[in-house]
Parts: sequence; C-alpha cells; structure tokens
Amino acid sequence: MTGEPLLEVTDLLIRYRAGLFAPRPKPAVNGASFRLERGTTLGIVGESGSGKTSLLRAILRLLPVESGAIRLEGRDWLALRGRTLRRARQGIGVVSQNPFLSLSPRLTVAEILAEPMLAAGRRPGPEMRDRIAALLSDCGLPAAFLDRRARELSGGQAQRVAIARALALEPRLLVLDEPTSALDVSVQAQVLNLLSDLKDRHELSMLFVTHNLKVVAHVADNLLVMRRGDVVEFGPTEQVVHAPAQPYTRELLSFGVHARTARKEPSLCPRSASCRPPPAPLNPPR
Amino acid sequence: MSRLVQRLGWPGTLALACILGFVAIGILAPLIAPWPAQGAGAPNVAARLMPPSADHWLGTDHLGRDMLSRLIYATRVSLSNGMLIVAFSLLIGLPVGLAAGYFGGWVDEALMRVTDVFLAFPALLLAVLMAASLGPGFLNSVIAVSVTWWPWYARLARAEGLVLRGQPYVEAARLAGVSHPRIILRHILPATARPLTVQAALDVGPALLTAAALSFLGLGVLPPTADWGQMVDAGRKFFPDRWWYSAMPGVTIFIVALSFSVLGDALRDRRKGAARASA
Amino acid sequence: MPLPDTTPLLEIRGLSVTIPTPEGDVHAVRAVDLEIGRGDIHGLIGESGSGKTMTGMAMLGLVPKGSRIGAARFHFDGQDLRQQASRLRGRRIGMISQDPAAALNPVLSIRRQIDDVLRTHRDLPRVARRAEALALLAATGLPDPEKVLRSYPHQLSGGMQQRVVIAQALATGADFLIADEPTTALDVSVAMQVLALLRRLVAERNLTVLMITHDMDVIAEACDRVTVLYAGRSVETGPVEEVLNRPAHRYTRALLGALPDAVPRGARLAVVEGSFDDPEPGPDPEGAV
Repeated sequence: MTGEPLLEVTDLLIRYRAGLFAPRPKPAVNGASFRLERGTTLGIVGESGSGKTSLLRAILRLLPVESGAIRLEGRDWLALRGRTLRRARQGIGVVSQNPFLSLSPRLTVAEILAEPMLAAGRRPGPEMRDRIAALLSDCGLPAAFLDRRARELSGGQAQRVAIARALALEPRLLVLDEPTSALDVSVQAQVLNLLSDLKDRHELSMLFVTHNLKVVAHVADNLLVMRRGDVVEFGPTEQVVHAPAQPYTRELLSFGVHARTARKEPSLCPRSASCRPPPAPLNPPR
Repeated sequence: MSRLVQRLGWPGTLALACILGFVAIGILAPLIAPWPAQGAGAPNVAARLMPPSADHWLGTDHLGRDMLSRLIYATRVSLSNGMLIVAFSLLIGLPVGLAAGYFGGWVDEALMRVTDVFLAFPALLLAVLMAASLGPGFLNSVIAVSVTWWPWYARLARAEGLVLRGQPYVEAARLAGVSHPRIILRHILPATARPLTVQAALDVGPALLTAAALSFLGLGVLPPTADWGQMVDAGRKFFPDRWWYSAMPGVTIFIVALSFSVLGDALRDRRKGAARASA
Repeated sequence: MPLPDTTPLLEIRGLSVTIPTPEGDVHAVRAVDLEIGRGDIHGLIGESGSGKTMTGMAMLGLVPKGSRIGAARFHFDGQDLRQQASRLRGRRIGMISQDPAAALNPVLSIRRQIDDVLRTHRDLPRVARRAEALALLAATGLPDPEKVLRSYPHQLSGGMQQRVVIAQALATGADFLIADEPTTALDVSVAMQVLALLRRLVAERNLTVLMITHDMDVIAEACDRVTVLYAGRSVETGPVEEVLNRPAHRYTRALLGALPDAVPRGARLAVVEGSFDDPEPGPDPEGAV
C-alpha cells in the first residue's frame, strides 16, 4: 500500500505510576514503534504482562503516555483533547473481548446500534432505521434481533452486534481486543470469516490484539509480537511465522495440533517410564 | 395483580397494600375518623385517659381525645414526614454522589469533603441544631432531617457511580464518542436509581422515627397537630397504667416501618431474581 | 511380578444427566460412552453446551440438586459411581479446575491448605506431613517449595497456583484426576509447562487423567486418547493420532477445519454446520449431526 500509513507509533513509552515511596516501575510498554498501513490488518500478540493491552489502551487514549508519538491519519493523535478528541474517536470502531460486558444490558440491539449515531448528532428517523437494518444484515444478523437485549443472544451473535456497533459511523480503523477469545472455535471461525468479509467490503484497516498467535497469524498481514513490554518481532506475518527471530515466538508457535502434525510427531510419547518431557522451556516455572 | 405478586412475592405485595392503605387513611382522614374534631385536636377532658371501649376503640389520651382519630389524623403528618425526608435526601444526595463517583478527580474530592463535614456531626444533634435555627414546624423538620440524611445517599450513589464508570459498556460508549451527560442519563442514572430506591424504601421507617424525636424535643410538629412519634412520647408518663396511650401509636409506627422494610426487601430481591433469570 | 491390570479404570456407557430447571428439563448429557484405561490421559473435547463439564461433575457426584443420572454402565474401578461417587471423591478421584485462584482459599497460607488435605486423607504425624507437602510441591516443579509453602495464593503467579492445586490433588492420594480446562486461564507458555508436568506425573505416579477441554491444541499436546462430544453425545473416540489426522465423524472434521491454522492464511475457515449457536439450552437439536 502506498501513501502515508493510517497509524504510526514511534517510541511509545508507557509506565504505570507506583506509590509515593516505591521505586520507579519498569515500563509497561518500552518504546514501541510500528506502522499500520491502510487496508491492512496488524496483529498485536503477547501473553499477559506483555504490554499489548496497555499499548491498545494508550492508542485508544484511555491511558496516559509517558513519552513517544502517535500519528493517526497524519494528525498528532496525542495532542487532541475534549470535543475534538470525541469527534475524532468516531473514526475508530472498537470491539472488546466480552460482548456481554461491552454491550449495555439494558438497551435493545436497535438502541445499542443507534447510540453512536445519536452521539454524532444524527437525527433519529427512517434514515437511521435503514442504516441500523443495513448494519445488522452486514453482520449476518436477522432484523428480528432489533428488539432483543444482549442477554437474549448467544456469544457469537452478541459479538456480531458489537462489531455492527463499531461500524456504525463508518470508521476507517477497527480496533479489536481479543474479539474471539471468549467464543467457541466454531463460532470463532464464523466471526473471523465475517471480519475478513467486512474488511474487504468496507476497506477497513484493523488492529487485532490477542494472546492467540494462531488466530492472529490467520487474519493479520503484519505481526507485532510483544514480550514484557518490548517489541520482539515486527514484520509481515509470513516472515514472523516461518522465520521468527526470537526463540520465544518459535516456542509459542510450536504448541498444538497442526504444529505437531506438521512436525509428524506422535501426539504423546509412548506410555513408558522413559517418557521424556519436551525440551526445557525458555522460562523457569512461572 | 398476579404479575405484581410474581414480581414482589406475597410479603412484598401485602406490604405494598398496607402502605397504600395507610396513604388512603391519610388522605381520607376527616371522613373515616370516628371523632374528627378530636382527631384534629379538640379536647374532651371529661373522658381523659379512658381505656379502650366501645366508644373509643383505642382509648383516649390525656386530653380525652379519641386515640383512633388522633392516629388517623397523625397518619398524614407522620407518613408524609418520613417520605418527604427520604425524597429530599435523595434529591440532594443522588446528584452529588453520582457526580463524585463518575467524574472522580478533584470533583470527587471536593464533593466528598463537603459530605464528610455533614457526616462528622452526630445526625440527631445536627438535625436539632438545624431545627432550632429554623424554628418548629412540619417543613422545617423535614429540611432539618434531610440535611443530615443526604450524605448517606451521596455515599451510596458515589459507590454506584464508581462501579458503573468502570463498566466495559460505559467505556465502550465513551469510545464511540458519547458525551458525559448522555452516558449519565442513559446508563448511569437508571442503574443507580434501583439500589437507591430500595434503600429509600427501607429508610422511611427510621426517617419517621427521627422526625418523631424532633417532635419530642419541641422542634418538629407541635401539638395540637397529631404525630405518631409525638404521641408515643406524650404517653410515656402514663405508662404502664394507661398503656394504650404509648402502645397504640407505637404499634402503628411498627407496622408502617415494617411494611416499608418488607417492601424494600422485596424490591431488592426482585432485582436479584430478574438478574438470575436472565443469566 | 503381577500382570498389569488392563481392565479400564473408568467405564461409562450411555450416560445421561438431566437437570430440572424452572423452564423445563435440560438434557446436559444425553448419551456419552467413555472408557479410560489405567495410566491414560484421556481427553474430552467439546464446545459449550456439549456436556463435557457435566460429565465430569457426574463422576464426582457434584451434579445440581435434583438432577437425574442415567447410565447402562457407570463404573470406576468396578464400583458404581451412582452410589459411590461421594465416597470416591477426594479419595480416589480428584479434581483440578480452570481457575486456580478460585480453588485456593485466599486467606489461608499454602501450608495450611495442603496440610488440611493431608490431615483429612492421610494418616501422618505433623512433621511427616510437612515433609510430604514439600515433596509434593517439589514434584510439581516448583523451584522453591519452602517459599511457596509460606506464601498466600495471591503472592503466586497463575502457573504456580495451578501447580499448587495439582499438588493438593496429589496429596489426597487420588489416582484419578479430572482436569477441567486446567490451562484455559494460563498463558500459552505456562500452559505448555503445566501440561508437560501432568504428563510427567502420570508416568511417574501411575495416575490416570481425564482432560476436559474445548481446546484441540491441549488434546494434541497432552492426551493419549480423545473422545469428542457434541450436544451431549459422544460422537467419536480413539487415539489422538487417529482422531486428529484421520477424523471419522463429520463434527470432528468440521471442528478441526475451523481451527485458524487449519487453512492457509486469509482463506475462509470451515464453519460447523448446525453449530450450537443457541443461547438457551433448548430442546434436543435432533438432526443437527
């Protein structure tokens, strides 16, 4: 993709404040730099404590940043405040992990989808109703769901509503925080397929944050792997997956069904006293 | 009707019926009191301190006035006293607490310090001080007690506001660009209203009693206006010989306070039940 | 030397668990067949609503009050679980569940908690109990058992907590462990260690494990045999090798196909037809598979 990247992060440092007398804590994000090109999906992967969540929340302006820069569509993103920020936020759609928490339990699906549009100053009326219906069908949901509440939906259906809501104002950037981690594998497959379709149809750029390397390797064009606040890999997915620079990444990729079948290993060493455990992990027991 | 029972359960429905009954009694007082003039205060000294009889079902007080009529007339004062106190306190406490909990930061600090000042005084003492400076009277006693009650609601509302502010769906609304006022109106307020109304219902009884205490000190409702708490205290010097003087209003307060308590419990359980059914 | 006992440790045929609810009966488990050999790590895989957790609960006798358990055969080491479950629970059958923090009492030290288990299940004097506790913690790979013994649960990481839970289960002297999603709450790298630990313990101590999970990767990494559950029924059973590489049942094939690394990057993932996308446990989805 030519042209300026949609999102450019430079030397971002995020540190949580400790108590008055405590020593200065290690940064949660230690100088991260990366770019998100238009129309691509960037996967941010890491385990707990890797800093990926802090990074995400900082990009969403939910967390203060100690130093570094974020440019969104060429603008100094960190400098925006107040109403300008609120309006600019409408260009970003956010999908969180648990739809039952991120969707208001009290509102109907129609009200949930209308909320961002009303906040942006659109008037309620037939036009808005059409738009809501279009959003629903775009995300594979029947119109009958308009009057339902979140608790009357399944996990997959609720997440689709969350995705529809994120798309309500036709954002250019979709930020997804573990969008399928709470879903069954089969439902996850449906949602990932949906995201892929939406991305093509609406020319979206996506930031996909997850701990699941397999999922993100499937959807992302580029990968950012984080570990304990540091960026340990950044590059095209193919490259990171097939020639990871870090043993850590290699270890994460070696787990599971297809990893084993690819290596043509039996699933388990034969049941005998001489069964050897796998090579010593890179970290001591945690 | 059956839907009401379903939502509140039998105890709750009965309690609600009881309360509505008392409200009706208050409204219809002059029509149903057997001795309306006495209920309003006219003395009948010849019949003073008579035990319950066919003429006077609950006996008479120290001025010979029919207890039942007095109680009926007192319903207006006492019930509205209790409910108004709670309503006023909510009116002040809810916005203060919500603002503090939702916005946090210096807003929280400032509002909570103000609240702390009010909480630092023993409630009754503060009410007495307020009433003494305002003078006796119904409205003044309501204001005096509300001034000491609102901080509790502020605290409650603040706790709710804090919790709700951190909810993912509120955060999601912020991220979608929804403004603060809209979020408070559509998400925070409805959720806060519920626990607070439950608490308010449970508080009417104690509010009633606090107002009664003020009346006893001569700072609330003055005789000849009837008030349950005042009647209990007036009857103390005749206890236990003329037991009916204190006992009747005492039992009435008990019934009313209990009804509000049971209703409050039923409201609270209804919320839980609804939540469980949808899990 | 006595011949090894080759009779299966756990024999289940036609298990059903029906739970009464205000909205009607819920058929959590309809027809599950399961046979686990001694010393095996047997996986039970299914998505939500498959009945996998309730199957484990039935073995422990921990089904909701009023539930009805039916089975043609429901035996553990020859004993009928319908009667003996509560007796066997904690003595022969132990459990490790998903959230180690929830399984440990936050206000008691680890020493207290393991000691409580040892006192209930083993007849050892105090000094011997401490030694045993240390030995168990060391067996789970914790590098500093003394320190762990002194600690409280919140001072330990998730992986360490799970090791403590495993040590507790071993302390009961149970030889059959039901592990219900033991690694779901853990990071991948930690999960790998815990699974390796379980495999090692099984070999060293002649344990048998039922591994209940929704994660095919866990099955691949840790199990000898696997049974696939769908909508309360067991639909396929076999050695993990076989089932993963040559799945016989449509649902198993679909499940494997839905895994993100099953297809080339960017290609569409296989979608499980008639998948259980219903929020309420509704009436029997007959004809779904």
